[in-house]
Amino acid sequence: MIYQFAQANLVWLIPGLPLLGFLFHAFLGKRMGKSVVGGIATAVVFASFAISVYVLMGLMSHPEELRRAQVSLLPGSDLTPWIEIGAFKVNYGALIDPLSMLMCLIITGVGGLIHLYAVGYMAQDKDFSRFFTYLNLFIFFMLTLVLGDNLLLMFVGWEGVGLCSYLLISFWFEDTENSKAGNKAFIVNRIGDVGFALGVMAVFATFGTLTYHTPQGSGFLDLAAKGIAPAIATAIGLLLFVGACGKSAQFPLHVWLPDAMAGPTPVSALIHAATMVTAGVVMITRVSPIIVQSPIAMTVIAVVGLFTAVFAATIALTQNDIKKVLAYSTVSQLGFMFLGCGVGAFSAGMFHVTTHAFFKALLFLGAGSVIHALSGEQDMRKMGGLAKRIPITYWTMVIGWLAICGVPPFAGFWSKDEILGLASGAPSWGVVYYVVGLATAVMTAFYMTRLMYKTFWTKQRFVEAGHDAHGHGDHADTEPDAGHGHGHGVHESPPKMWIPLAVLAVLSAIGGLIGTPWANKFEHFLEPSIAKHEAHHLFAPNIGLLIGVFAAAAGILLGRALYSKKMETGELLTAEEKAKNPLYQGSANLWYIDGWAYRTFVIWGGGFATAVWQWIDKILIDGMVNAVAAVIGFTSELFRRVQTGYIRAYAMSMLVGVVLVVAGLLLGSLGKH
Amino acid sequence: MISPSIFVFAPLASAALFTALMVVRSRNVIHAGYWLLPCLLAVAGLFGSLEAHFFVVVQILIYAGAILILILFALMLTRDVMDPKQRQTTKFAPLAVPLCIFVGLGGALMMARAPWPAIQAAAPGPAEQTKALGLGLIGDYALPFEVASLILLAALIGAICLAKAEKEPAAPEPVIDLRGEIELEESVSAGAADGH
Amino acid sequence: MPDKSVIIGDMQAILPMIVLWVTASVIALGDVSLWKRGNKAINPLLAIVGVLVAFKFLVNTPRVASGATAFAKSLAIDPLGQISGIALLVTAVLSILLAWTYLKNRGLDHAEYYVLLLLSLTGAMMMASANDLIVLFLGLEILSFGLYVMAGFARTEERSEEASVKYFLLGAFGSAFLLYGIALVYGATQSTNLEQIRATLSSSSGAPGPMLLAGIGLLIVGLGFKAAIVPFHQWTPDVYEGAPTAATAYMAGAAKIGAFAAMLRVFGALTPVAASWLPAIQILAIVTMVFGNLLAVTQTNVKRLLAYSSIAHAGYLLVAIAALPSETVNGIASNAPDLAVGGALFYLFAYVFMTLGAFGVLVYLSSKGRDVQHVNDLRGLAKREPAAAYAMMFFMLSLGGIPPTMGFMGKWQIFYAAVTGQQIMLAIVMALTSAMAVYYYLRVVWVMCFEETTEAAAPEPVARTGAMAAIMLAAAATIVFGIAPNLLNAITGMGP
Repeated sequence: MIYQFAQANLVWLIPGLPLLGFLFHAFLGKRMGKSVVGGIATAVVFASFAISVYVLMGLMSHPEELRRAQVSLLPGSDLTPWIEIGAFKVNYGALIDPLSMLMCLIITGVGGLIHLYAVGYMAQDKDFSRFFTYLNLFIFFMLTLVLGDNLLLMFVGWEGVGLCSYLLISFWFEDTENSKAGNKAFIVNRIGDVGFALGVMAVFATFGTLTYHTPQGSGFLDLAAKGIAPAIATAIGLLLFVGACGKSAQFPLHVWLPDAMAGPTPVSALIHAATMVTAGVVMITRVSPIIVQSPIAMTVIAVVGLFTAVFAATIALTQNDIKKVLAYSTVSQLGFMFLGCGVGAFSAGMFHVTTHAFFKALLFLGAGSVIHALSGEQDMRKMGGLAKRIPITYWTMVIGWLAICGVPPFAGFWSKDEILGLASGAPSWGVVYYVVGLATAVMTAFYMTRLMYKTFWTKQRFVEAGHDAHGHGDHADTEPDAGHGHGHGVHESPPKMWIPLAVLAVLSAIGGLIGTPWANKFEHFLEPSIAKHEAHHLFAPNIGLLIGVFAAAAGILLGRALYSKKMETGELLTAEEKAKNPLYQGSANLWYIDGWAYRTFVIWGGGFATAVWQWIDKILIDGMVNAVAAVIGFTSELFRRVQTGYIRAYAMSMLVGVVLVVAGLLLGSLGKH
Repeated sequence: MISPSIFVFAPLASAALFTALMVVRSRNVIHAGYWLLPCLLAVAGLFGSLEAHFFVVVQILIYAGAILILILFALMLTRDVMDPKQRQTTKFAPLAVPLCIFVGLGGALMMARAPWPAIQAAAPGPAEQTKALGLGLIGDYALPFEVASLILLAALIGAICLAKAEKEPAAPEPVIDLRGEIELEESVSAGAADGH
Repeated sequence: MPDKSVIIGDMQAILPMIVLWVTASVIALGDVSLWKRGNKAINPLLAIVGVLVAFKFLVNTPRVASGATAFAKSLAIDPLGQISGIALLVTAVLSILLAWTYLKNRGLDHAEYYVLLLLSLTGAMMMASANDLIVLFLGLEILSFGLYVMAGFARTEERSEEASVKYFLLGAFGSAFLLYGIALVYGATQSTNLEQIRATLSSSSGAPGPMLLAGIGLLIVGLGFKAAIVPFHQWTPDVYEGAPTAATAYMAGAAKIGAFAAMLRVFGALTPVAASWLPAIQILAIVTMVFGNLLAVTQTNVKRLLAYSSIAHAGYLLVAIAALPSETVNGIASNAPDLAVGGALFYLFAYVFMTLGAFGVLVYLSSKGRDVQHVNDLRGLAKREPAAAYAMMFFMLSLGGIPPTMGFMGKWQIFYAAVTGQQIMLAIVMALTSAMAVYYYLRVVWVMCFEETTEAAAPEPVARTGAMAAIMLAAAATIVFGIAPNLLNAITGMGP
């Protein structure tokens, strides 16, 4: 099963290069020019990408059953023990298999493109080198997370990316909102981390090791594959899933992600869309041999995933901040991925991770480009009419839009269809999963169409001249070209920014073709990494695809029907014109229906969605978080009162303690004998 | 079945208890210090009744002699404490008294029931006792015996350090200043009184 | 007469302590006669040299083995004593460096400080190697006497004086309990020797008598006071706050190591009657972890915050103590006791580096005019003093147990010991309270990085090299041993 191969000796370079980049920036970054810093930061990530490709080629040259290797993460050495306490030993080692290599490619590939984009986006920032210091460190930790050959190393990466995320969200720390968002992200994540830590403990208590696989077959996944008690599998699975919920923003631990969008847009694209937030899916997929043995854990994962998908999609319907729409959309798509994991379609979940990394990174970067063009404006009500003004951004965004809506042959179509198809065949509740999932897909198509209309297709609503360049959510230092930007208003982004857009657009367009239902190379590729689990389609794949097309079309057309009318009515259907022009009476009737639809879907539905957002998200969940904080604060304050400062009071409490301890010992022994 | 030793034990023990109570009850802290003397002597008497001759001597010499004098000196050097108008009791008394009674009775009950494996058949004579003690101090307990001198060294240097005058002009200070503590207590009890 | 080789062996066992004591004497005498008016820097330098020489002798002590003893079995020459001795010497080096800066900047530069530090260090090392309850008690007293005076070293400040008196009175109270406990245990087992006590307890059948139980209870109280365990913790915040920061740093490290090394020994010896005391330790561990962390949340004074944090860390260390008696798990011999000792020692090292580092940052910022200890004093530190601020960030993350820092590794090792020793409940409480702790550690980071300084610039400190050196040493250790924990094991010879 385990095979050592020549190319694997270079694996240490994959996380090693970003680490070197980090050290370089940390110690020398301030003294170097921006071009050097940006160049090195981007180059190390692309170099890691090249090495990942090389290692993957080495891995693929072996027969399928040999595609798994355990190698050291230190240069030129055998597996090095990292911690060795008695019988407990974990290595500073990497597990090379299709799953870890896939993630390496996504992290370094998409990550490299985002680095390149950020060089342009952050060009005027005074803390340029600090930004890339954190970004390279993030890549290092993220690679450690996916490459590590044991759960403890994954935990180190897990906490490391959380820390970098915190630092990057709060990057513009002059803005208190940002640092509050950073704090919120960190604290909510800690709740998940407790689950993860306890899960790791449970794995250790059960198997006595934390290493996934060893050549001798003594890794805990090797042992788990031989069968374990369902109760234990449930406990481990649920604890680890709590951790996954924290990092991957699943209900109710999703609250941090939309706030996290306060950070610079490349950070949103890299950390909060393409890589870090998918860590939970990767982790659940990694421990799939345990998960599949617990039907309860599977059901919980599927239900939480599905609920999060619907819930976040309804919220995305009404958001006006372009990044908030994408943020809730990310939460929703992550829900889809967990739905896939929960029905045993782990490879479909990972497939969606991959395509989502392409199109969501594209959409975020595109949104960043829009924001950049409008000198920091994020409110879609103040956009519109941008299609002709920033054509490259527009066309790449169109591809991203088609991909996320699930229009064939774009990437999102195949992966979403795969998940929904396999969810439909789940042994229990399959139909429910399918119908709700499909409804979510329609909603997704609708809100993304809405985003496109509001941003690009409707009439221009922003004021070009005299527009305050430092308005809402703006940072003067995001402006890449001060002289150019302020004087001329709307402008296309520089090549450093649109080249990554173009590359991601190509990937979003054709990236899904590796996983079509007729020739699913992707699933085949991942097979050695994940547990075998029977998953069925409810109906023939071709019918499923057809339904998927209809769902996407329904969402888009609904959006078109409503918003194209709205565009017109905005100009024509004032009360006087309606009365003056009888030719429009028929249209008026249509409009009346449209209006009814508008009211039904948008006003009522929107009200509902707003209510969901207001009540559940802001009041219930935030309230609960605040209540816990308040209770802790109150208790702390109460006990602070006991700390009077008087020696005799302290002596008295010591004496009470003495009596309690001694009496407890004596009574305890009485009870026993 | 009353052992005749009870006639020695009972007066000594009640004297020790009574004087200890007076130490705690005295309103004047100097008086409390004086009451300590008969208390320590009564304990010495108890040692004597147990034929622990060496301890009798040590108890009288060190406790009744040296330590008590030191306590009285320290009290006299401390301001305000000498003032007979100062309150010397604490408001924790209602809680402390039952706790102390509980601890005392519990301890007594426990002692009475303990098997006392350490009791030897008969106590050796005074000369052997002292000899065994001396041998122990340079034999099995040589290390603790020597190390005890380090405590004295540390205490000595510490005392000098706290007592020596600052070079900078600073208010002359007593060795241990309890004023803050007592003033605080005063104000708290005054506040409590106002409240009622 | 014992033969010559025994005497030599005995002397070798206490050679490091003798070196410390001699150095203390040299400084005390030299300062009043030889370099009366000369450069005061010679005192800390001499102290560091003394500690390093002691370190050399300590690591070279011959015949270190578990069970090896000296001085008629009253002193153990075992890895536990040696490694906790190393931790104590590390604490000493860091706190001498800090004191050097702090005392000079605050105008308290007297030789007595170093004398007392070295003497109390001798006591702490004695305590860590004690194989006899009397030696343990004496060691604890020497340690404490030094600390009492060091806490009051800034005599012109009322807070410092108050801290000293409080610590002294309550410390005497605590010691009385410990002494009474020792007496009761002696009454029940006819010995003060830990080895002998263990032998007696394992050979006797039946339930432990009330005298033994009361004795054990009082030992828990006496040692718990020094280790700052709830409910014997109340002195901690007041004394930590009032004492000069450099003294607080030393106190935090030395007292904790001494107390826990002694606890590991004492409760190891009491393993045969573990059933009677384990529930008490478990409850105290939970209470300490919960209240230590809970009370830290509202603190706005960094020294008080670190005091409550030190209480919380005492709770984590108690988890290791609770795993100590699990010599068999489900009838199979388990290595949980070794893991508990190893985990606790590693944690103590981590605790020393991160806590002394954090206090070091306060020392680094203090000057004659301003004693930095409020959270607001740290506002905007990332811009004013980036090196100190980033080091502080590492210390806070490490205290919060976030990888890849030493604090995380320490927690993991204690987790591991607890899971192996079947103390699952304690491990879960530990995980939950650690998550809570991040909140208040993070607030310090936030204030440093994300808030602007509002006050006028404080007068520049006179000298700060010593403190910077200590901070950098501690930060490097926090990271390096966090990434490569085996390195520490290799350096100290720790681990099985």
